[in-house]
Amino acid sequence: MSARPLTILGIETSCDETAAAVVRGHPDGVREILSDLVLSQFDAHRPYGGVVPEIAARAHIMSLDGMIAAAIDQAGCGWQGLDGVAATAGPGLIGGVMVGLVTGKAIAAARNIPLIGVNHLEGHALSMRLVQPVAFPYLLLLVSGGHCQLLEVRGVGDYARLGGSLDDAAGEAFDKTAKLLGLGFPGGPAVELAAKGGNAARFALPRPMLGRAGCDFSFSGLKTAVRHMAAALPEMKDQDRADMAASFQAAVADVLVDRCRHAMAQFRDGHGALPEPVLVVAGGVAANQMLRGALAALCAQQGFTLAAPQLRLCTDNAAMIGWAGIERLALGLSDPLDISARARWPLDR
Amino acid sequence: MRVLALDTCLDACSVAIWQDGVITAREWRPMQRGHAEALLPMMEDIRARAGLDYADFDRLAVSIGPGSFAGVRVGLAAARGICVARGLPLVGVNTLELLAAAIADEGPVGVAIDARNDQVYLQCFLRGDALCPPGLLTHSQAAAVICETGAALHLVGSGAALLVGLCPANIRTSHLDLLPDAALLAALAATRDAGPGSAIAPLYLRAPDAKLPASAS
Repeated sequence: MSARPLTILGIETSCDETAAAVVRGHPDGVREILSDLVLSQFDAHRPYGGVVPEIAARAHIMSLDGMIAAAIDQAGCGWQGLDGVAATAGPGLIGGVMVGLVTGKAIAAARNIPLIGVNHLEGHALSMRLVQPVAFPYLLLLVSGGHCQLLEVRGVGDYARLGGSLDDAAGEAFDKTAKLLGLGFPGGPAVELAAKGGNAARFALPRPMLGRAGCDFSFSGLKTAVRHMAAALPEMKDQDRADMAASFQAAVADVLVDRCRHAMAQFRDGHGALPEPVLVVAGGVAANQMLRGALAALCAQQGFTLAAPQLRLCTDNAAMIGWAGIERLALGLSDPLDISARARWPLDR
Repeated sequence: MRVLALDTCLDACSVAIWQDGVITAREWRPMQRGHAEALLPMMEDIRARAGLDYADFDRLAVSIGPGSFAGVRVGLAAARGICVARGLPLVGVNTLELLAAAIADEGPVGVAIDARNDQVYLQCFLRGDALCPPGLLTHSQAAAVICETGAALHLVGSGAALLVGLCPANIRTSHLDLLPDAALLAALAATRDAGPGSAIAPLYLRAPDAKLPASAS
């Protein structure tokens, strides 16, 4: 951390949440979220059964400046109190990313402060450090609606990808399963709720990639299996839904645990001397209590400490983008005003 | 009065500074893409040349479309961002009106922008005053609107060549490659009412390309 506190405005517009936040990092390690606002576009996309990129971009431009003004107001720091502005520069839906990034550039120019173009995945990767000073290196499981990967976080801007999904993200599988079972949207919380009263052993669903070498995931086969089993039922009763949700969730948990076990072994190979290795879980799917429980058991068995930020920091938010901005700015990293928004942007490149 | 104007709606990117009736700095570049990268450095460049800080401006001006969806948003995001960060008011001007400002005719002027899919964005003006609202029209619909204006019309813009064959013989065309210029935008904006940036919305004229699932309709 730098010799003085850094106060940063964070902007996030890469999917269907318009978010603005002000975060502050002190030299003594204290981190504060001064404001943290998220406006979901959920209602605008609901009729389409998924996020429509052009609709998302149109919604971002209409509300972002108001969200920023409110975030500055709530933070109580004033515009003159900002040391920089951090905006998501990708990966994501390009129209929305451009709205946020250009807005960030304009604010950086107008206030004569540095711009930090943040990789959305780095926002997730570092979000745990906004809560507590987890030391590098650590293992990261990033599971959300758009991403599913295992990474070794060696430092700010220094990531090694151990594995990722070959098809759907885990959150996508939750959403599609929820849709199939008529459980509503977003699928994560809906499946988790339905699964509470369900028998996870009733339906024998596949565990794609289980036992295979490496750390890659695959969820499309699981999703297809759910569809076939649902279609085979003469009628779908509430108990069937609950049992299927529970069976699906258990299958996802088994896959995540197996892949994490492989990643832990790889991580240990590289950092054998590390006394207390940490597995950080981030992304919206990390909110699932059953998955957290399964990962906690794995960590206990493998001698890892499980760390997961609170739910609000797991789903898309601007506080984590602001925090990534602080981490980068503290290292002297900022970006010129001509940087491009990127639809694709792997974290290890 | 000092106005900072910017346009990114079509195949050009431009910025200009207007001070009490005089353009004191201007940058205009043709480009089909790259507005989001070029805009802020261009603005910083002319601002430095004019020796002004953002706090020195009385208002900003931006073209709000019609145009490329992404281009419209790049300009508006930049304008709204500066306005919110500096507490400045904003003027939004429709792109067709801005293009018409380049034509100093006594008679009626029609501005047509090629909107692809056999459509144009069209609006007609008489000495700067709109004769009809801006619209997204098929070529034949646009020709009908042009016929209704009666008098010999001067048709300009990237859509003019697409319409001329459908229009009466007394239609005159020129400026087929006409593109917006922030210098004209700044001068126009100086005469308008400025308001909060968050009140200035894009003028897309075209719905998002999204189909409702069959089960929902």
